[in-house]
Amino acid sequence: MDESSLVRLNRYIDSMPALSITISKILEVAKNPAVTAKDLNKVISLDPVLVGKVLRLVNSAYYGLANKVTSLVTAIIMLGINTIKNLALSTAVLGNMRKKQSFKSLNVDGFWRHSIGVGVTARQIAGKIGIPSNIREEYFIGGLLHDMGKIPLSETFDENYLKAIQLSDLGKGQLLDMENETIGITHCEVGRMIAEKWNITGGTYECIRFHHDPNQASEQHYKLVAAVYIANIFCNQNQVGFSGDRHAKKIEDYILSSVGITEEYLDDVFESISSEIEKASVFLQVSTAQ
Amino acid sequence: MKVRFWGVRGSIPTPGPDTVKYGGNTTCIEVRLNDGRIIIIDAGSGIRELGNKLVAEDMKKGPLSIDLFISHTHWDHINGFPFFTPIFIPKNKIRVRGPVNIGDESLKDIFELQMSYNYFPLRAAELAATITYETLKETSFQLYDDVKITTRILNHPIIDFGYRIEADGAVFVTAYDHEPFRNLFDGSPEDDDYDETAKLEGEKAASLNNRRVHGFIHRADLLVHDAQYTNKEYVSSKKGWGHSPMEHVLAGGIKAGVKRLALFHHDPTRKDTELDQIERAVKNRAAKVTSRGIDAFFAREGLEIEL
Repeated sequence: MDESSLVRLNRYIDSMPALSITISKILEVAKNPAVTAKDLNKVISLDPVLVGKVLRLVNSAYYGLANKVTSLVTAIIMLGINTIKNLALSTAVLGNMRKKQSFKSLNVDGFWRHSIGVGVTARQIAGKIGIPSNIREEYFIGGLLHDMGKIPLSETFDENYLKAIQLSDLGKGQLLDMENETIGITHCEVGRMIAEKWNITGGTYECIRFHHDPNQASEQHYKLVAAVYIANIFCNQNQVGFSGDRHAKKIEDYILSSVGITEEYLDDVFESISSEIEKASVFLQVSTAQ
Repeated sequence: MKVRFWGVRGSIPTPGPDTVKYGGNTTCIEVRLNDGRIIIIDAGSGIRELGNKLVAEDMKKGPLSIDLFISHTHWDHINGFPFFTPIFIPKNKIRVRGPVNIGDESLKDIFELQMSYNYFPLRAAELAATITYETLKETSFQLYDDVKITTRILNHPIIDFGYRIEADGAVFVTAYDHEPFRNLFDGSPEDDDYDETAKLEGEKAASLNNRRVHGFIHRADLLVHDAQYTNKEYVSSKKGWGHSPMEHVLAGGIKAGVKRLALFHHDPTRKDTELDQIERAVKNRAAKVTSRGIDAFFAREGLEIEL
């Protein structure tokens, strides 16, 4: 990838807005003077960009904590409702300013459904394999953020990105390879750039970077990354949203068994995953005029 | 070191006959090291008189070199800066350090905004002293070989720091504006939005952060702590405002082995007579609770404490 393209990518990442689909609701919630921590948590948890920005704020900007914060609940308590509210507002407003150019190549609704779907599925897997409930949120966040690298790609190189999606659609190869061919960088690499800029580390970082190849994950975070890997393919197979990958491959048996899950289990919880996405979608329909 | 209060009031300056004893200026604390080096915490309206004294006395010996730490950028903590005379005098050096909130604004931008045309007749560019700005994170560092500074994030509706200064064999700590961290995800299973996982996690996060503040104030020779409200006031309507109930502060100070506790950031509505009255109650309470004898009192303008 040439220097000027990298500059464009970096510039986009530096002022990345919330997803257009969540913006109205974020504005509605955050403009409410009586907003509660629960309201904020609910709306922020539906936007990968905003979640990333909150984690960035709590981890890099101020805290000297030895262990990075991976949970939204903890971030809200540490930074306070007011600070989080202002961050949400400023991230949403950034998006409002450039509404017109939102997601030319990737359908934003499909992308959002896919992100939420993978998050919800990964959290279900965590529950099934006995991950303690306070850590399950990390599975949701890993799933929610895993494809974040696609946002700057889709926004900065819209024509080429559309081409990559079309090539992949025509069966010329995995989207990852088509991204490399048409743009010269993959969404996993761009995701890594975002994560590094935002000081997102640990398991969430590995989900963003290795969700197409969990074998590269560290031993410590392998189960988390593999759960997101499985959730991602499962959502692609079942067309939960659309994130550019229509031809999902089969999930390797050894990965399923290393996590401790079966495809049958996933089929069983498919309904509940769909219904969670629908609930979130209804929630985002703004009830009152701005 | 010597600590002197130049402003102890919260929110807004409150001159008038009812605030003569404790003072009406907003927050400013002078920390004078044994060798004369000057550290200042906050630039509320109290910094104006401190500036006049520095010019009249210290500048006889030459230009000033000042380390100014800002707890946070709410107005009552920076509103005296444009009236701090040393900033207008060439060769003075003033290093301003503190946290900024989210967004792209720097500490310098925020300070200079109040010296823009609409708010003040002189522009920041016209200040003759050398002023540098540094945004701080939560950290611990040697300000000088013999002066250690630790910053800790407190609970206030903006990023806000307490400062722990270890020098001259003494520990001086500020912890305002601050209220105890609490679980914002509390609730009962009957609530529509009840989420047990969030509740448990919130519990953990609040207690972790309160423990960190406890460690931060631990064994301070002097702790200056937010005590804007009584517990009754706090519980009835002031939760979430970023200020502490004094009963809680006293208990926390005793538990952390603090020697002297200056209750600080008095509510602007609080009269001298009320502060006198509440102080008596606080002292009685302190005497009852501890045999170690924590010395708790309300900070007042002009009070100087040697550590």
